[in-house]
Amino acid sequence: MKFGFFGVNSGILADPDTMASVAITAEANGWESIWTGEHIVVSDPQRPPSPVLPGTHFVDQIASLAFLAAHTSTIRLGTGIVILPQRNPVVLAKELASLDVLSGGRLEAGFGVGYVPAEFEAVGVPFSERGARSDNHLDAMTALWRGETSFKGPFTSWTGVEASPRPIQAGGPPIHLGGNAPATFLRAVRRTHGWYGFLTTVESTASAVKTIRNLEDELGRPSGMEPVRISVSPSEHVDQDLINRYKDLGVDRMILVRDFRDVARGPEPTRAKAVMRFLAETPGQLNFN
Amino acid sequence: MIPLPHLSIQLHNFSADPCADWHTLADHATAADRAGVDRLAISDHVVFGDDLDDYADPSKGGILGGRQPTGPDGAWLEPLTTLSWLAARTKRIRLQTGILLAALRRPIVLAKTAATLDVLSGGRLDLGVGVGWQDAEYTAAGLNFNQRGRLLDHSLEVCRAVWTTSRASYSSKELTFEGVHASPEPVQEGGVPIWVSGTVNSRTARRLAIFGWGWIPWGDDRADIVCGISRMKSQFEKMGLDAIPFEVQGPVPVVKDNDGEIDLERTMEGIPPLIEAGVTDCRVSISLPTDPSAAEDRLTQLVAAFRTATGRVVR
Repeated sequence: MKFGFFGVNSGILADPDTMASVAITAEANGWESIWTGEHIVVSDPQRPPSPVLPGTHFVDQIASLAFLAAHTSTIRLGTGIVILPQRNPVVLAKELASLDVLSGGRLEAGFGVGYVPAEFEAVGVPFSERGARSDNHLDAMTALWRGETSFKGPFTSWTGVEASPRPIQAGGPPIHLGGNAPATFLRAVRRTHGWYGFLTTVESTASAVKTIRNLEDELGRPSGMEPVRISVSPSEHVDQDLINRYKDLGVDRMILVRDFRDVARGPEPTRAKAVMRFLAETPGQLNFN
Repeated sequence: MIPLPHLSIQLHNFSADPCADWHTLADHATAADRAGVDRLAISDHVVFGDDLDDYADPSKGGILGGRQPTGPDGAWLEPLTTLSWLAARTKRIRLQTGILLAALRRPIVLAKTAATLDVLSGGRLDLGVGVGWQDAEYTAAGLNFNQRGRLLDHSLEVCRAVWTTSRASYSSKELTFEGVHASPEPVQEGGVPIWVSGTVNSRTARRLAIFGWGWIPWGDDRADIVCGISRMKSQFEKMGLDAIPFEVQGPVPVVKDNDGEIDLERTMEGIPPLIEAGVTDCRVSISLPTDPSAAEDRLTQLVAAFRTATGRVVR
């Protein structure tokens, strides 16, 4: 089992010194990865289904991970997740390739299709097109990363175009797709390396894994791709027993959230000390190695 | 604030080798920071089409006789990502995009990225923006090259709306939203300083008057900066724009010695007339050795010569 830490770019941790300390502490204590989250904008007043309080700080994920790449040398750096249809795919492909190169191939690219209509409104992308755009963008970025000079999709097309540098990780960074919709499982089996379940239970994960494995049997996987890898951020209290139960389901990576109140509001260096203790103590308590 | 005038250099976030190693970029940024250079800049290309000839075509935004430093397979790191990486390695040098093809980004994503890079760097970001010269980049991004000016203005409008009010609303023919937060806001008061790139024309002047903290001249106006500034002043007058004081980047003519190395003393003699004309950011093209300490020595000499020439007190 690999262990990651979620929420390095938001809430009480969202100032540069704290973020750097979190990354350095996590790396020194044997965490496999650190993960960011995002809401490009947040509605005020809060409007369902947004889970985010107005005024909550989110430092841009790619900027955060590039900043933290310079402070670390081995820990993997995950976006958890970038809301794909809200981005321009050629720009995002360039940003992620740059991050992969600058970090020495440490990027884990988590994507989602999004679920908060008000955020799409501000970004200027029709909410109804989020699925189709996600497929377009995944295919467009993969084409650029593989050095294919032509691409034709419903939202972006080009011929005779190159984008170097390509990611260090051959074919691009591992891609993890977040979400629980049937279309997400289908998209993961058809297009991505992994699935990332957020705020899971063992039961919900069992059901997701079953769906994914059935789809793999039914549809097969793109050539050269292994079975979909499973990462989860559990909603349950994490102890050895829970880890074993997730392990039995074939979960590959657990991305822990210390306390959901950590990722709300703005920087609080004093409260952040509890996060540093968590990062230092958890690996021993949970027998990371 | 660092006192004016400023000394700035351009670093290479590009390489003709598609598999380049970027340690030198990091070493040079660190050396510049330690030596006391005021600002470093890096540039932007998201993709390349297979024909780069438009770089030499002023009607497309290129420069007569211009030549791209790389071929279509040349490597260019994304500048905001790269500046975030460099922000972690530096303490006081200002970090500038020179320039960013801002319109290729979704406006509110750009606003978020730039604001938070300002946070990560402790308020050291300067956002240099321009429209570029390459149709293929706009097409690949799903945008119309012929709309590039309006697309850039739109992006800057959204940035300003989001940076200067904590609960932002915005309305234009392209985009409408109401009551959103994008925290954190930039560290720098009033938002990230925007440097507008362009030759003297009504569009650049208008953009500069509305958004510009600084002007990055281009083409003939850059080549002869003293005339360029005077032409821009006339353009402002002609359009009835307030002659707001803005910063101007100007290239310092580099004088080389017999070994082909920069002659610091004679190069510095070119600076006072630039400052007299209104240049506030003196851009020196200097080639740096790969060795980090040799690069730092070279830059330390440059900084000392610059401060002597401009009478700026060494901090």
